[in-house]
Amino acid sequence: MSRKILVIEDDATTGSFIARGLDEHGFAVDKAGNGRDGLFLATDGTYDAIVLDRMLPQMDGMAVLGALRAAGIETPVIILSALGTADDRIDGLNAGCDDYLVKPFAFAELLARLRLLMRKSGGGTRTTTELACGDLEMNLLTRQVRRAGRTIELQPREYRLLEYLMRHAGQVVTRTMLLEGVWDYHFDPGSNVIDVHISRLRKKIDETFPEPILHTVRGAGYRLGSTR
Amino acid sequence: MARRLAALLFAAIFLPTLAMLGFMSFASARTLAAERASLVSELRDELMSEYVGDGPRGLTAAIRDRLKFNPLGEEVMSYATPKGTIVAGNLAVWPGGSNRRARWLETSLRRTGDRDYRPVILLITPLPDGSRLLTGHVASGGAELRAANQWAFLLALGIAGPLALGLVLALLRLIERRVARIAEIAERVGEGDLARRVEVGDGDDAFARLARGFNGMLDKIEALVVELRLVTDGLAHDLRSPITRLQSVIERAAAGARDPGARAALESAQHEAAGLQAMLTTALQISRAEAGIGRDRFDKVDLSAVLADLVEIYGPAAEESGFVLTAEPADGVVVSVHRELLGQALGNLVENALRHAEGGSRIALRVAREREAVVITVADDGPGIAGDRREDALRRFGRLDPSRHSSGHGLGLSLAEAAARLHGGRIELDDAGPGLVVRVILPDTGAETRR
Repeated sequence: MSRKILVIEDDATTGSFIARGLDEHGFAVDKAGNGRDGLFLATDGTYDAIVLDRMLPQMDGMAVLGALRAAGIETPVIILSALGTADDRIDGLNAGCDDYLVKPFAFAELLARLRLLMRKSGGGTRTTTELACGDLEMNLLTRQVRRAGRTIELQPREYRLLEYLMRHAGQVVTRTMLLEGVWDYHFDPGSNVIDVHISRLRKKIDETFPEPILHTVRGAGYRLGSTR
Repeated sequence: MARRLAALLFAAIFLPTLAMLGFMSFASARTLAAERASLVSELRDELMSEYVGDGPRGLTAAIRDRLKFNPLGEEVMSYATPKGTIVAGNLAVWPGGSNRRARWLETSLRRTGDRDYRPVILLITPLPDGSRLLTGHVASGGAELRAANQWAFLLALGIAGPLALGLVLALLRLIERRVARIAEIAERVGEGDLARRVEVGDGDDAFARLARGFNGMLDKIEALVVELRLVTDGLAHDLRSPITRLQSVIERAAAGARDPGARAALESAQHEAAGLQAMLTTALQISRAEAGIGRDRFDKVDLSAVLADLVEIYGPAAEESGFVLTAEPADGVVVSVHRELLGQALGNLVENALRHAEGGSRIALRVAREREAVVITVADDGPGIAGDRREDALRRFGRLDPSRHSSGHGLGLSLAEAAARLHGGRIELDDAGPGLVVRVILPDTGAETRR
């Protein structure tokens, strides 16, 4: 059964390119061109995620979000904003959206974040002391990392990077998501800044093993997990 | 300048006063002289009528008569025969030569019976029989007049002088105060506070006109700046959607491309589009920071922790480029800042250093309290920027070497400056000897809470 996503976006071109992109990646997509229609569709509550433009005619994105949450609908929402920077992001997160993306964005970024949201809402949050991905294991208490039973020495920053990747194992994680998740800054660092981190981490967890576990997803980011 | 103006004004007020006094004393002296001359003429006419009536004898009698009653009055009289013998009068010696024509003579002489020499004015009238009549008057009033004039001059010096000086100083202060107010507004506006205006009084004097003209100019400047901002911001906003779509189209094409050549080209296009997107985002952030958006997002942040984060984030990339990135540890520099924006701005500065400090080997981050401010420095040991090019470096999209095809989009310094301004601070570029040091100077908001 394919996942259903609602795209509420007044700009027809942007709306249809998001819809087409999601469709190509195997999602079922409904579109709404304004806030009122969007809210009407969203209250069905049968969507796995909602992509919500912040600036909408008739009913602004934040109002739609507020109405949804007030109605007890907890569908994950990712807000698209043309406004700009971190401040709107914080407003949005405070208002109950699950993620926030600023235009212009790469479609891969939206896709990665949507997948993350849907997984989160499905899996729930449970406290764990062990993370595992294939033969890679991480003990969160002793901060020990082992692959195929062999202990791997990591620097603190490499450990945190790997922890984020392991918590999102199987998911595509973009460079911005990494910077946000590990260091709590929300901007696009220079082209190779994150790549260097990854290649160093890869040296330690991949180089001496037959199967690579940390993959580069072209044009999007990285994914930790066995090859599909 | 003000001193010269004061001296000039003082001279302009005081010198005419002196000139007027001079003229008045000259005029009164002349009036006095004319009066005396007419007295002398009258005396001559009276004596002449005696001469016409009774001849030399009558004249002699008249002179003696007059002197009998008033021998030492103000009058001078003398009658001499053609041979020069004085027949009557109060002079012992005939003054002057033996001119045949009537003439005036101003001289000083002693009359018979008088102890002192006195200034006199004399009229010598030759008579038909060759004898001569001298009439004259003592010019005694001149001394008193001179004394009076001297007093007038002293008064002018003592009263008019200080008065003029005071007036000049008061006028100067008035002008200076009003000009200073306008100058202060000009400075504020120059610093970027475009909304400031000069107070315009009710009057219609030159100052009010200056203020109105000045305000009109400021209105125009502000309108132009706002318009420019609107145009650039509007452009950036309008570019966002097409760039987003462009990226997505390229992404999809790259994913579907079978031909390795096409795929490589699309990936490179994707890379460029991502750079464009980053540039645009930064430009928008600068606009927002300049508009003061985000001031409500300030939090107490330990700046040395931010620098440590930056070393973590950029350290590996710096090492790959042959740099050592360090942050000097500092204790408790906690100030109220927009952490994300400041972090990004400083990150941009580090990236700039990585890109432009060719041949350098270290990038040092530092934060310290300096008097009323918190100063964050990003220093490299590359070629630096020449003093006269630093202004250019701060310009949006300004790039120092147009021939260099580095990927630097020249927004890093602008973002840092905009971020600093949002915090009420500024940035400075300086020589690190060798290298460039960028100083981000923020107001020390932590100082108040510490005390």
